[in-house]
Amino acid sequence: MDRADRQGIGLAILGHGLLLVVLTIGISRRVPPTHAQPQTMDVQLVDAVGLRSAAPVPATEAPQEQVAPDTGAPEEAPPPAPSPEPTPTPPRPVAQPTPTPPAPKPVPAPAPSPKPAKEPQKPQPAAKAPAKAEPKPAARLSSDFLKDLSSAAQKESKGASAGKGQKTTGSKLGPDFLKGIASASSGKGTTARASITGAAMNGLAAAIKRQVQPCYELGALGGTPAMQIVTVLQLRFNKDGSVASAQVVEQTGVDGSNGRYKQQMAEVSRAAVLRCAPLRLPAELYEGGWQNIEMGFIPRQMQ
Amino acid sequence: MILRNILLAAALALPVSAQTPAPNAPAPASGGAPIRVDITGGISQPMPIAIPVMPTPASTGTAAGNTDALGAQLSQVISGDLKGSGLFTPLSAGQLRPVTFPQVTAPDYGGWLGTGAQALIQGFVQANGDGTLTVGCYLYDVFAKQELTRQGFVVKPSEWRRAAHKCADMVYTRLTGEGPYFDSQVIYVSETGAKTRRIKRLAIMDQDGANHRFITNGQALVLTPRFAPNRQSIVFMSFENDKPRVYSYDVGSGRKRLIVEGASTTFAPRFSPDGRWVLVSMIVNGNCDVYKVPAGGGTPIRLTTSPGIDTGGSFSPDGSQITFESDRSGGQQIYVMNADGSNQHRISFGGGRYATPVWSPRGDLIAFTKISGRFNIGTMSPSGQGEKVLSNGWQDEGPTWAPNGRVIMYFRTGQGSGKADLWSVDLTGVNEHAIPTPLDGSDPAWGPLLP
Repeated sequence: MDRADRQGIGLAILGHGLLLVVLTIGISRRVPPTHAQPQTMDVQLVDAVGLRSAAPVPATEAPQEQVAPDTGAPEEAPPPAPSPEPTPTPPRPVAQPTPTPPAPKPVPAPAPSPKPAKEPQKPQPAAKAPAKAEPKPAARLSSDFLKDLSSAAQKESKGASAGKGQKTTGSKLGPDFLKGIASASSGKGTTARASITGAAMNGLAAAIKRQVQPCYELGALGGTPAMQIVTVLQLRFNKDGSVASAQVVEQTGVDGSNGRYKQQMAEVSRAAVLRCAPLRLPAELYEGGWQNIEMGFIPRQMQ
Repeated sequence: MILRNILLAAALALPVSAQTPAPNAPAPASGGAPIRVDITGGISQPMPIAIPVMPTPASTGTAAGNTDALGAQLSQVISGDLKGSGLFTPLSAGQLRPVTFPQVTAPDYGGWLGTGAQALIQGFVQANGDGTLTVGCYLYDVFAKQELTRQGFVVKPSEWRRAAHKCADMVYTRLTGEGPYFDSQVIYVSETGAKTRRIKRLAIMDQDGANHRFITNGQALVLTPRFAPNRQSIVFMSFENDKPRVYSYDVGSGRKRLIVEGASTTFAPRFSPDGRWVLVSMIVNGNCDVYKVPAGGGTPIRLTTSPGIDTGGSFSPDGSQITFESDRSGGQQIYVMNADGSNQHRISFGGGRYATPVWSPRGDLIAFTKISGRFNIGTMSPSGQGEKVLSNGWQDEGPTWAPNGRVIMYFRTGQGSGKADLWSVDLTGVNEHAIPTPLDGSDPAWGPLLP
């Protein structure tokens, strides 16, 4: 081995050592590669789109005034002054000869009874509103019903003016809460509604689903073969969002192992609607919209 | 026949229809199909149920106490049954409203709506002139404002608890679609004493732990008691005279006799569903096989012939097949064969070993003890599909089915202590809970529904 060999071997050893040091440092400084977090997006497959796509025609009439619930003035501070002069409610299309005082009437009696049930002739606190409504029957209310209410309400208003102290304090319903219903069905609602667009339809379906979903409880049926049964109900709603009828259209997925659960599955489906009713849905989408819907109940979570 | 239904009251097969009929409902909107909304994925949680104290038309003293007090006790037993099933949450006493006698048949739905209860059980208790009690039981749907079903029971005062169990069974059956099981008994081995000198006695009790009594005195070690379908006899294994043998015990007369005469060791007995046969495991010439013996005594018929250990037979509810365990493949596994011993095939192929298979009274499942480090109770279909482990203890073994095939009872041995307790679990794997026994308990066998 001559000198050149030794030099060559020395250089080679040095070079390898250097390479080892460089690689070691490289590994220790190595930053682990970051994988891009996949962006997840909820996708809803929708087949229930309206056949015609049309923008809703804006309503030409002034909107009905909605009266906020009257929770009553605090009992401990009744204004000592006499009744405030009645202010007519401004843009009500329905004739309203007896303007209803929007503010709660002061109570001459120092402590009005908080139990309205004790007063035999007192109707629902809401009765004052339809007192002057036209006899034209509302869709879901018979004219007799209104007559009863109006006579009772007149009696009541007389009583109130005579200082009997019958007031709606404490009620969750404003005195005018029936107005919307009465007017919607009495005359003004005869103009054709704007056709419901596909988008509105989808929004409506989502709103219904959102409101009924929390009440769909399987109870004892969870985890049993009953989970295979899909129940379809035909639902008819009243304008106030309550259920007029709920009938089973079909049940699929019934086999030998779960036939005994058929009735119970139908009942939990119906209970879901009844428990979450009345639904709060846009009134302008009632006719041709949520008045009549079909609801499928699929117990199994789609995962 | 101690109980008889007086009202029968045909569980009003409610057509699921309008809560309020809408005869003059407007015609469906013209043009196009209605919107279709799908609700997917139901919540599974116990149903809130209200069980107020049952009123009495006239407070009368009876052998079981005053009818006033009985009304409260009845509703407590019903409440305990339904709560024990894990499928219902009875309202607490503070949330309940008092019910007057006329209200029993005309419930105040509006008042109950506010309590959150979805179902309401009302009833009454009345002392009859002949010394019996009449218990009425009514089930209402609070939201639909409907009566769902009603039944009445006439019982002796000493059997007032059975009226409560019957009422709970009616409610359970109507609301879950399952069969009844509350009015049934359990036989088990009551254990006491030090680990090395255990005293084991047979004991029988109601499904909820009440009416507990001992059958044997504990002089000989006893194991694996099993009810006959008519509950008139019990088979069990006893170490009497230090020889392990299967005996049959007649409940009526209290007489005891050997199932199989001879010197062979016999164990793991179980009745056939029709009560005519008893399956036993018998060791002959050092080979353990499954035999069937006429329940009244007779020659044992050999069903398995493998050189391994074949034991623990259990009939299918129709009596056509038998499931048993065998170590012919190396470790314990579950097998199924026809009732005559033909077509023996293995059904368990998961990891670990499998023991003590028991066929569900509904026929759709086989419960077993799975041994993989721990001992746990599980179920699978008779074809071996859909294996599911239900219990979650250190050492859970010896499953037995409730008469409706929805609940499984078993015994759990604590780690190290050797102390055993009875437990039960719902088929869905929820509501695992201990059954109260005065002493330690093991080897439970759930009896059939009482007549």
